[in-house]
Amino acid sequence: MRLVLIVSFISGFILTSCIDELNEIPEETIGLAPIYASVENWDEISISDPEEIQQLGKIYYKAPYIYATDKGKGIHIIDNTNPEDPVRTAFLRIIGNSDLAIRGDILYANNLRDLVAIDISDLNNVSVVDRLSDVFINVGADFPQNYAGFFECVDPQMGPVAAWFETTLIEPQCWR
Amino acid sequence: MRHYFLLSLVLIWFSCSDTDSGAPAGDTNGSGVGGSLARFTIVGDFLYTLEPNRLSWFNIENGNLEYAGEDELFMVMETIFPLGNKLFLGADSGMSIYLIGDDGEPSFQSSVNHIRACDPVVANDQYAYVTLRQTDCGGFFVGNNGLEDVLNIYDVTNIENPSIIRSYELSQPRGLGLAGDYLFICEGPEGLRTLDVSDPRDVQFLAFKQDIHANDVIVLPDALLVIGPDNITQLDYTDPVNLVEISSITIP
Repeated sequence: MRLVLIVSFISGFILTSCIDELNEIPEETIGLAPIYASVENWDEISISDPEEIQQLGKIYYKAPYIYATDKGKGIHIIDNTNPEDPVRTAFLRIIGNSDLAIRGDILYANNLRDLVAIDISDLNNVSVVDRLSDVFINVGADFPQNYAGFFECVDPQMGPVAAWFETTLIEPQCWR
Repeated sequence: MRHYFLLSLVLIWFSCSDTDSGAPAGDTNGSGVGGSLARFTIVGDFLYTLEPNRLSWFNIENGNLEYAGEDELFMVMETIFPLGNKLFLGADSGMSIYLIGDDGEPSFQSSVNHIRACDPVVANDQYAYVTLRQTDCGGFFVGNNGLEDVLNIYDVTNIENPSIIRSYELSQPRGLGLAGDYLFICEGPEGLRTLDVSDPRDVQFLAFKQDIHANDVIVLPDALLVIGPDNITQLDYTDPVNLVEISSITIP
């Protein structure tokens, strides 16, 4: 039923180009699978020592720092005072994050469905100064955004989806 | 000659920063700068956020978030690029141009349709540069190499009526960045390309740096900031044909 809903919802957008190309569900294909956020503390935003980089997404610059998002996990903050020797300074944990923008001392970011404003004037002690709930209604939905293709169906029992990653799928039952 | 080039870059940088966000990056009261794949951007006192089918804006004058409005979109939008009081939106089936009013509200001016693909956009007052990638753009396109992977250049002098000038073939383009007459295009695992776009009808492919994984780029006055899935690399582009690595953070 969910699949029917998804397909009918999306078909308006991609019927002409994509659905007609789908003849059968492949035994094995490349597609997206969800990463689930732990429900209890997904809205807890914290700063820590530099963490291992997993999968970089987007990049943002505001002197003297480079900000690089790690898909669905948070933002690596890199001190670029000396461009010949950039220093990984901190990791800002924001579950479900993909995008950011900064003005003055405030960093704006998506935290799953919420939009948050974070004071980063002191990188040892960041604080959330404002939060708007459920701004990004598509986030945590049953399908990946900006994507046409196969994906692993979301299991609602697992909680909200933090991000999607590319992987090999066996007989995927969801697509858009 | 070289000095003129540097000077023009600096001028471009400052003029863009002024109109984009009130102050050059680095000014503590100003805003920073994002890549071409960004879905958040700040213009003046407003933050704009893009979802596949919605453009929202928020007043951030006081640092807080104050919801200001939203617009439903009829294309699946992927990227947002600010230029002065204009917003260029890249959708999977076209490019749209919005004009921001004094109250922060963007009003739709025009859109152009193109093939269905992944498509960031950057622009100046005369031209918009859009890369279209069907290779690996979502599962349905996987393995369909040979589909269109191109750069489209549009004349946007009249934002109510943009027109295509020419298409150029590329190899799986992603993000892109403009520095005066030079356009840098990220082509994923294949590398970073340098184009001379001073004549949009006769773009020159100057160089292709293939030892870098490039998904998106930010053009800074002194460096290109390039991001890949596991690398953040800075390149000196004093000579755009011969990009020189300043530093690189790579994940083994």
